[in-house]
Amino acid sequence: MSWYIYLPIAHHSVLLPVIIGLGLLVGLLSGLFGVGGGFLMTPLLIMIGIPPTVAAASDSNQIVAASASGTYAHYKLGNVDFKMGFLLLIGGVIGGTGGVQIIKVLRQLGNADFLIQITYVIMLGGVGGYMFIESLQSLRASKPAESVPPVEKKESVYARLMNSMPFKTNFAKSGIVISPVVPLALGALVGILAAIMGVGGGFIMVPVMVYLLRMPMHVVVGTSLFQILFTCVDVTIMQAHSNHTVDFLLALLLLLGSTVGAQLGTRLGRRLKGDQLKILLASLVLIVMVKMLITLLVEPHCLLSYYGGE
Amino acid sequence: MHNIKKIPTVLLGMLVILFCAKTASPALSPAATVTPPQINIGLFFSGKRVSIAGPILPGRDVVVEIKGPEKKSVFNMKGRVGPFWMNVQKVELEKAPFLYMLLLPEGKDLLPVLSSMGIGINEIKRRMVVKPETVSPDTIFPSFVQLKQADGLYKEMEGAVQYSQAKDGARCFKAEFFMPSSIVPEEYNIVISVFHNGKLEATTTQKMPVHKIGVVKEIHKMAYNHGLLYGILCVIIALFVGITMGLVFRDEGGAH
Repeated sequence: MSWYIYLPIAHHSVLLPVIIGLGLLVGLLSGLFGVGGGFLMTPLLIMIGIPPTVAAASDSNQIVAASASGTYAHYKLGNVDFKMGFLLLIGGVIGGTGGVQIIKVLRQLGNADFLIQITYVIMLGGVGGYMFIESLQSLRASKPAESVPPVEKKESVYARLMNSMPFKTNFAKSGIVISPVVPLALGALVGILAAIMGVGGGFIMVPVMVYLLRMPMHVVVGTSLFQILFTCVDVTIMQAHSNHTVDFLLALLLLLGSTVGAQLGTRLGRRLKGDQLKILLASLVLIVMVKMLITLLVEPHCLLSYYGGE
Repeated sequence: MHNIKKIPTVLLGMLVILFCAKTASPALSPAATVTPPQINIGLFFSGKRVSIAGPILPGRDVVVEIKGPEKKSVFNMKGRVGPFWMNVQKVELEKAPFLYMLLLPEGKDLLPVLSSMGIGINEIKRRMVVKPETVSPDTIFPSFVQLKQADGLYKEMEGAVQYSQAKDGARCFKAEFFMPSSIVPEEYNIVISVFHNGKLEATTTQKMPVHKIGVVKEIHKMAYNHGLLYGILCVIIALFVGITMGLVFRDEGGAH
């Protein structure tokens, strides 16, 4: 029996255990942190010779399975806030559509790639750095916390702004009462950034839910996966219809690994505290940021890359 | 009347005899067997070793080129802007083959002759058309070759053509190369050239078609002819597998 499988759309053969192993790894991260994993999987697939456009589109297809599996697991654990998820999704679709128009204008103005990459590095660095420091402080403080008397904090400008918003709604699963305008607006913001940066937005959405919506980490992961599921269904159908870049066999092999990985990630996530999860995600985001920064600063060994990548 | 009817048949027979007489002479036009004569890309395809063999007269050398198809390729080109390396423009290349391999005999310095005839990887640079014209082929050609070599699509192999003496005293040549799995299903040309004392004596071209077969062909056909339906099916299958896996894991009792 051959260990190689030929991919009909990628025009490339791949080693079966390598692809399933990649799926398992990225699925694990997906179930653990509620991110789609596209920011990690797509470069890995390109590294093993899959054309960039096929890698990105087929990855979206496999994320459908991984996020469906992860959403289901989190739903059974009571970790999905559907009301919040739908509002973020609607905001995301509106923002994403606007973001695509923005990127078109930027490309016409020239040097859009630079802006994309710099936005990526700044966002990753900012979000990852803040999450890392905050989680570290929180982890350190958690032990002596019982003996320290609570300090009364002043209400921040952000908190005052939230309180002044109309149509307050109770999001029971998340345990918060806020205006639905907030998740709609934040969803739109993430949608714009995701469209500009060309990623699903999972690792921007997760910190937004944790820090700006003040949702508990475990509900954040489940709700984020629920939202990613819809985004990737849309991307897969659009890519298959317009660009013919979805390689079903590649997606199938990846999802065999990723669906199992997502389940394992969800279980592993339950054993970790919210701050531990955050610090792990922050480390991952910072590693990706450093890798991107190196790519920007170090002379590439080859001046050309196949069009459609990055 | 009866004899007149036979004229076309006789003429055809004469043509066949003439053709056979020509191909039987190894010096004039190298008769070679390509094994396999065509490549089928199925589900477990991981590239294919191809061999070319045939008779050759003493004192002759054989050079084999495998090339095709000439398609437009589009690349991102990186450049330095301030301290950053980034994609600065889109570059299109035409008249550069998707695959190019050159198989040479060992120890024969045929490269200067071949170069004068436009044979060899470096000669592609002279022929290829770069758009926009402001980008010099000299700037991007090394990177282009580097990308192709990484995919196993551009090669120059010295010693890949070998000679042997058959029992009846006839001389034969044999060349082998590996068609990587990254080939596209099109028709490739195998050009066999015979040299005598550093001069081209004969050349012949054989076609080697590459086809997709079975599941690979069907998936490709559906993806291109019924994109929307294909996309919806991909999503349904992914959802089914994802949820099934969720159920399987729940049934194993690990979830809650």
